[in-house]
Amino acid sequence: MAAEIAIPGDRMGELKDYEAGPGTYTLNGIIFASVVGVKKMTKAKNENNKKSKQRVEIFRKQSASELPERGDIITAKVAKVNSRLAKVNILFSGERLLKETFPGTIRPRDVRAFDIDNVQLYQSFRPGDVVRAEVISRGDQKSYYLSTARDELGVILGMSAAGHAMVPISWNQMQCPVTKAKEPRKVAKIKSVTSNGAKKQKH
Amino acid sequence: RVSAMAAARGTGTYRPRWAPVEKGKDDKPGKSDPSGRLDGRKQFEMRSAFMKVGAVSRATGSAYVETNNVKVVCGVYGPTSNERTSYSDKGQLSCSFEFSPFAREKRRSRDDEQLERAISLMVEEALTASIQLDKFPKAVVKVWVVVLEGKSGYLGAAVTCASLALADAGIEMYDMVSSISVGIRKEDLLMDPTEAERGSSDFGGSLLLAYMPSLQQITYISQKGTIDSKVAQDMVKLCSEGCSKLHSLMRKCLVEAERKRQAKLAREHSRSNSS
Repeated sequence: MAAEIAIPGDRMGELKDYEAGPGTYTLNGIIFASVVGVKKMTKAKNENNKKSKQRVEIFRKQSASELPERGDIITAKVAKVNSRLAKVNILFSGERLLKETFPGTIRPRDVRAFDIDNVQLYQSFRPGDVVRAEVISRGDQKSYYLSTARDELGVILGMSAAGHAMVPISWNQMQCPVTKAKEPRKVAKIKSVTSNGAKKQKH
Repeated sequence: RVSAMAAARGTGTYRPRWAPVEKGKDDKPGKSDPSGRLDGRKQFEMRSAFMKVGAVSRATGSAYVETNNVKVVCGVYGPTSNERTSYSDKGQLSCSFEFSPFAREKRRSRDDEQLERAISLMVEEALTASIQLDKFPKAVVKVWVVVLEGKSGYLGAAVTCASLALADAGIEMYDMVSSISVGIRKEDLLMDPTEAERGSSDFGGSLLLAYMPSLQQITYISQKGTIDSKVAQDMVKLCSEGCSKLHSLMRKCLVEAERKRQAKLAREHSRSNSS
């Protein structure tokens, strides 16, 4: 069961015979390895084309360059909130814990899909909240631009002023279970878990 | 116990010695030996090398390279967010080269900082062409090279070590980079000259090459002394052969390390499955 291990620069095949998968790059019609890893051949998912080529990929369990990309659903912790923006630290990309945190920004127009002129950021997020958001652009050098303008995006964990994890009661309110005080947030609508097997929300 | 020692060893044909180098063998400059070189090597023979990855446990990736009298360690950190520079679609490589205080005969002093900065830029130049910078936009990968011991040949070892560390970190690259220098004494080309050879009165100059062996491309070239252009071309050819030899050692080192990692993951996986 000796798996073939490739190092960067190794020739893996030609583009006319194979498809280049993750962990590889192509130059002049030849597929080369980009990382140190195990060579894996997978069948490319192609329903139309009967003659689908095999895909070469170099699999590396712990790869370094995992950065948030446009379209990713990320989980972040809110660091700072003012009238113009909410600054967050991106911790997870999908379900993958990132090795480094990256800064992100949520602007008022990206908090929700309707009535964007009257958004009050401090009524949507508070420092310390954990939010789920979508990366809408790479932004500038300082941070990624994020959006919570979907039902399933927004605050997933918020602490009340009394210091308890709050329960969501509507799309814009959470309640402290101990003091019963209500606090405004842009709440993420998480689909309920059924009793027979968890029905996890797909991201 | 033997297997533990073997596991601790990296790869290569050279086993690190802890005993001091015998006086008189490598040290006397100016002695031109017609039958061969002072340290017993043939004209085109490189010093054998020992390479190991994962030497610095805290770093994202790391490597250690040792040849006779040269010991270099490198740690790679990143990609991390870089808020200081202006926006770029490509990532950045930031190299820092440093001598440890005890690396050379004289203790490292503040006067060495200029040399270290120049070498940092040189290492950066040698490596940047091999990294797929567009894979980590806005971010920076930091490379720290420290020479623990080295009077001659540490430049080549530094670049080779850094390239191994980058591969160990999982940074996406186009190819590995290996580096070696060739000297010229009278009319003889000497592969990987020692400090004694460089210091001898009839030493004409040297050429340092950083090379991507798979893509057959040069990433850095620097030459010292007055050398005929035809001779310089021969030196470049000889250097690239040496770099290819280093490349096969680098491959062995990385493949062995990856196999160990895969085996460890497989053991952990089966353990978590059975529990």
